Order: sequence, then C-alpha cells, then structure tokens
Amino acid sequence: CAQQHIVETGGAYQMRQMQHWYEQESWQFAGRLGVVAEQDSFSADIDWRHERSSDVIEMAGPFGQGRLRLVVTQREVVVDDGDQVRIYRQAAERVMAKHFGVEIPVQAFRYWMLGLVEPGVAYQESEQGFIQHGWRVRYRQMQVFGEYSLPHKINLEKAATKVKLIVDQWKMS
Amino acid sequence: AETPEQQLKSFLSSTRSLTADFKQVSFDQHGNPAQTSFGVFYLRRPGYFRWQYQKPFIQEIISNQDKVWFYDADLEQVTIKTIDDSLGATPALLLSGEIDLEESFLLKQQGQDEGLNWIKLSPKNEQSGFKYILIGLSEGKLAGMELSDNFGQLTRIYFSNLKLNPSLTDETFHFEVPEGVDVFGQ
Repeated sequence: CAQQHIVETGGAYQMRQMQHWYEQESWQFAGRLGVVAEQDSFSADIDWRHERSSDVIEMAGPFGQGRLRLVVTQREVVVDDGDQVRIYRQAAERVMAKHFGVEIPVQAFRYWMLGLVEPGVAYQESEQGFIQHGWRVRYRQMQVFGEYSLPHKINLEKAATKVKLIVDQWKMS
Repeated sequence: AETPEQQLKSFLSSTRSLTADFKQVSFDQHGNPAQTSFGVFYLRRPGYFRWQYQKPFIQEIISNQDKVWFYDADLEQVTIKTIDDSLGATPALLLSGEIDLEESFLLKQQGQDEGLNWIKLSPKNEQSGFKYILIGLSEGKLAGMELSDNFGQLTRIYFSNLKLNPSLTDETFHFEVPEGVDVFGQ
C-alpha cells in the first residue's frame, strides 16, 4: 500500500549524535525540495538514492510533470528528462546550476542530508547546525529513526539563495 | 446514445463550475502505488481552478486567469508562475475551458476501466510536457483523470462527491499568503 508518512519529530539537532551515520554506505529518502533564488524559484518532489559509487536523484513537479532523473557518478552526470538523455563530464555542481539555477556542493550535500559535516573541510558550528562551504545549514526539525535521529526539515542558505528540504521518508539499507 | 467523446464535450459545455473531492494516486515506474493524496478540487470556467491538497501534506495549486500559484505549507513557499510555463497546470487547464478540446487535442475512446468510460486526449503540440491525459466519465460526468509523465509513470485522480454548477466566488480562487512564507512570483 502507499506509504503513510508518520514522522515522529526528534529533539534538537546534536552534531555528536549523528556521527555513526558516517558509516552508512547507502541510503534513500523521499521528500520535497523548495528552492528560492534570485532568478528562479520552484518546489518539487525529490527522491534521492545514494550508493557508494553513485547518486540517483529524481525530481518532479505536480502530477509528475517535468520529471527529471540525474545519475551522478565520479566521472559524469547523466540527466534524463524522459525524452532526452544528456551526459555531462562536468562537476555535478555545474550541471545542477544549469538545470536548477542553484550551485549546491553535491559532495557536501550528501553529508549535510544525514546531519553531518563533510569530512576534511573546515566548518563552524552555529545555531541548529553549522556553516560549511559558505552555506548555513540549519536542521529545523529532526525525526526519530530507530534509536537514532535523522533530519526532517533542513534549511540551506547562502547569500540570496535558500534551499529547503523536507524528508518525508528515510530508507536505510 | 452519445459517444464518450460527445459526453465529454457536452459535460464541459454544460458545466460552468464544479467542486469535487479527489483522491490522487501516483504510481512508480514498476506500476506500484507510490503516493496517495487527498483534497478538494474547485473549478470555475473560464480560467479558474484550485487543487486543495489536505492529506498527507497541505499544498495548493490555484489558477486565477493567467497566473498559477503553487503553495506547500511545510516548505513555507509560494511560487507564482504564468499559466503557460507552469508545469502541472495543464490537467486542470483542460477542464477550465481556456481551450477548445478539438483544437488542442486528438480525442480517442479508450473503453471501460474501473467502471469508468475513458477518453484519451493527446496534445497536438509537442512541448506540452505530457504525452496524453485520460479523462474518465461515469454517467457522462467527470469521475477520473490519468496523466502519464515523460517516463510513463502514471498519476490517477478519482473524483467523488461532485457538485455541478455551484456558485463559487472569487474568494475561492484567491490565495492569502500566510505569515513568514517565501513568495516568488512573476
């Protein structure tokens, strides 16, 4: 049957409580993404499946319209809109900027979604989160996941760009 | 008896406005139900419609004449787009009478399924962002809709508790932006 999204809100974000997720090699979430940038703004359903060597990101508007599937690997980014498949040899950030008008550090974003800072990169702790790569990451709501917790509502802000992510459902394999 | 196509045309021409409860089921690429949502649909021709999603999330898609408002309560965001470049407006646009069916779509009977008579409408212009829309009629009245996205993934909408030609004021299609919500619009 269709999944029911009962999200049990967890307590406030505690960075040290998230450390074990560094060992999580693959995960998946379904949720909603809102982007507000100077030149464009949109909201979409988003499904992100992360494996060791690839990320499959699918986004769609209302009624599945405008569905886009991105497969990001070390070497390339494949963008499939259902009619056309385009392969880019550029960094995922540039491809994302081209398609969504926002340049998000994809490598770091993978960690941020799990409530983690990207290892080996400087950061500053701040209220409800941290600042890394010039992005202010705020975990506005956490959700219980077994004996641990995972983000439910994440805000990312840098200059005039705001990215909001709501994770309705986590799947940890 | 009228063919389903004629029933659809006479339904659309005799329906100035309508309200209905809806259940929307989206299917993944394997055909399994991925998400189900519920809400109320409002329509006033020409050019006004409102999808008011109530479960599992509070969302709105509202069109008043040339603009479409997309609102998501959890995301605290309202995006306003013009009708033509707003994805997802097309299904309701079809009903809101802005366009003459034959001019924009090829109509083809699809037969019976789940107790409804289905008609397939394939857009004549390629860039409409969707391959086809199916409309399901029950006793000549709107009862279902099916959309396929570019990947062939289906979304089916079931209408119930239909009220035909209620009087719907502008208020019904006016969206009051709540406090603290990001608004972006053309």
